[in-house]
Amino acid sequence: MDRAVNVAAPGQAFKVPPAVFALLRTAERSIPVLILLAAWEAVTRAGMVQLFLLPPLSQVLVRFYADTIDGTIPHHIIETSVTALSGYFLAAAAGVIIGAAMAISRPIRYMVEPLVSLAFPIPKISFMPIFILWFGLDTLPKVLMVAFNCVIPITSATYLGARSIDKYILWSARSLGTQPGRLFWKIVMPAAAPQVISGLQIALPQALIIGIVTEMLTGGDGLGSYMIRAVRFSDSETAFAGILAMLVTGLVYMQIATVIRRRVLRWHAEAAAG
Amino acid sequence: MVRLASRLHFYIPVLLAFTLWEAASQAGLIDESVFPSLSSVLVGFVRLLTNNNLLMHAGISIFRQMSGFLLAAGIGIAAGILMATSGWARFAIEPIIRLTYPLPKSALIPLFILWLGIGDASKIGAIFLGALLPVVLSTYNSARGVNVALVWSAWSLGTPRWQVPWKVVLPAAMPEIVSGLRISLALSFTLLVSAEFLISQEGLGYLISQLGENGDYPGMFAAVLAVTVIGVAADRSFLALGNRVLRWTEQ
Amino acid sequence: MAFLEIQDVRKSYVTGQGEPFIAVDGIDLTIEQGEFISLVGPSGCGKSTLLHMIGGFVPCTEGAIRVDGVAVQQPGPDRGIVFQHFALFPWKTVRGNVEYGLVERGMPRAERRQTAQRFIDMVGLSGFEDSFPSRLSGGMQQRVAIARMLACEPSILLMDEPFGALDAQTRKIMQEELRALWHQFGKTVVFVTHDVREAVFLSQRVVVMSTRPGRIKAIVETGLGPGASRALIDEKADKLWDMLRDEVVRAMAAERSKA
Ligand SMILES: Nc1ncnc2c1ncn2[C@@H]1O[C@H](COP(=O)(O)OP(=O)(O)O)[C@@H](O)[C@H]1O
Ligand SMILES: [Mg+2]
Repeated sequence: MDRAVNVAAPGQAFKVPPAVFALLRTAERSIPVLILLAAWEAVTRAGMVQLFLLPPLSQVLVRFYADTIDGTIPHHIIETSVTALSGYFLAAAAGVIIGAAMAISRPIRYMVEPLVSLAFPIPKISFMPIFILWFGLDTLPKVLMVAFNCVIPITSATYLGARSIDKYILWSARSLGTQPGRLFWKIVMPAAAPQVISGLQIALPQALIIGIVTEMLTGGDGLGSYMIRAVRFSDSETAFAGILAMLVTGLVYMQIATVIRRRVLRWHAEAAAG
Repeated sequence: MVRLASRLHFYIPVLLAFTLWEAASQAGLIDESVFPSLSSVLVGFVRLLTNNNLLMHAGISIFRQMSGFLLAAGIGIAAGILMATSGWARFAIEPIIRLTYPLPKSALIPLFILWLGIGDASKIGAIFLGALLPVVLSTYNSARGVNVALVWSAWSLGTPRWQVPWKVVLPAAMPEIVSGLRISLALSFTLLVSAEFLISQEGLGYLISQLGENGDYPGMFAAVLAVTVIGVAADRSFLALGNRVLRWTEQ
Repeated sequence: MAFLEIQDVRKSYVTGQGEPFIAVDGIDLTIEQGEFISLVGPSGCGKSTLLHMIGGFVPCTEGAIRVDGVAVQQPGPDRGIVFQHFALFPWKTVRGNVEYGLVERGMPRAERRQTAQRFIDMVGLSGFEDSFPSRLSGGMQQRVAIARMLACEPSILLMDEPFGALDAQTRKIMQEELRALWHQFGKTVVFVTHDVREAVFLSQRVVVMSTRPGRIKAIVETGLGPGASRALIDEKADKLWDMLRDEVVRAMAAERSKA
């Protein structure tokens, strides 16, 4: 009768190795996703939804696999990435320069601030027909549309970051001997880096969203046209394979952005915490 | 009066840009056939009002955008608060949200066309789902960060535990919820116009493509201008509303 | 039977790595009705933890806490609390904050107004009823927190370093006002502070805690009346500080070895 039930008494919990602990947490977290995916497969297999609305997960995976090894999906991913990243880097360069210029110069700030504040809420994609009219149906209007969308958050983040610097940091630098003319590049921009990077991070998913939309609108190659073409032919397997490819691309982008952020901001408190 | 004056002052650069546009057109510096002058765009605007049912198209677009956005806001805030306050909801919802969040939202447009066809429902669906995830995530993140001392204060002042989510957590998380909603609002317009460009028989996006195809460029520019004005007006109204709700954050 | 009984209380947490961590251990303390008692000790010794357990916000791992013979299970309006950083509801005005507990109790509007006004006047915030907390100074916010607590008429007041965030001058004034309030109402107060002089000035007994795990090192009767001279208070405070100094040094060393 003295076979005590082994309830882990508080203060005596056995020690779990960190790696196992992390693995268990991952397993726990994937349960709801697995249930959802299983339900998807079961519902479609049982014929409870029409196949052109929702094909079984397994068939989507088969299509995704086939289109991946024959190079179709990688080709479209590269195509989309070229558009999205060209526009993105264009916007990054322009945004940082304009934002910095706004912080330095009053007249520039006066001229540009209202335009940026107005451009934030407008659906910039509505200019796409104008861009097509001006730049044709090739890659150029897509890249410019992506840049148009991304430049706004990057500009305002740079400007706000550079303006919100703590004046005591500036005074410290002055008293330590930094010449006034060099304050901006030596102190202001590094101090603004966290916000600039936040702006860059916010803009990256937008580059992908807009890049894909422009492909849907103009045709050609890329994930957007890959998917829209499938929908036009009611080929739902390919459409879902397209979604999967976009999800993977989005995940990779986000991951890269996080890694870069950690690297650049090693001195920042948030990197130390993470 | 002073505030009005300073607000007008703020927009002088915009007026300047418009003036420059008109002047350049008048001087023949830009090609009228692909870049109509401001005056002909304004004439086109009046023509759209009288001949092309601009108001009807705008009404349809706003209806779609508002339906999708309000649904997303209501459900998203509720889900975010629920996740922050209930272990079960967090267990069930968070992994799915985290997995699907990186999906570029534009993927939803063709998906809903596939599911719901070319009418209102497919636009509302895409806007709803696209705006939903950011709302859920921003609500959840801010609700999770609510100072536990606020919750404890409410408990000790007699608030039953089950009332804490809306009596304490929701108002405390409101500042971040409002800024998350503002981003979703802008996204909802982008999705709306994209979906209407892609496939539709009404709405401003449809009107813009139609005018473009017919070569009516002043009309097309005017319709783009209408979308722009609606987007800005929606954002400014939202800001005004947000400032009212968040009066308590003013220093 | 003592009014507030803390009997052999221990609190342990499980850390992120799954290891047990004992925050406080073997706390035995009885507090009489109407007594003003302070807890002092190095930071991290578990003063807040103990206060939170009395408040019923976190459960004891072992032992029991009883008020009037009834075990504490959950928070309740009988034990009011003031947190170090005030924890006012920032979306409510001063009046809204002070009325909050009265609303929860279902007090009718007119009576509620009147009651809240009485406590707002008492802490000297007349004229600020409609201000939001973000507009107030730290000292004023602390007054609101005290009024909010008092409005619920708790029988025990729990205060966690309530004046820790205030500047030295405001702090002195607040200490005097709190002592006057206590003389006026004669409520039981459990007061956490890291300032020994504050503890001596305000309380009848001071509990000195040691760290890692937090235990009671000594309980000191101040034996000072309301008219105690400055010199006498300083003398008592110095003695208390001698007792505490070693503990603080030890706690700092432990902190360094951890980092
Ligand atoms: N929720 C918790 N989980 C783990 N450890 C905690 C928790 N709360 C407090 N602790 C730890 O318990 C100890 C005592 O904390 P606390 O009561 O806040 O100390 P004090 O108020 O005396 O500074 C500290 O080492 C703290 O890190
Ligand atoms: Mg503490």
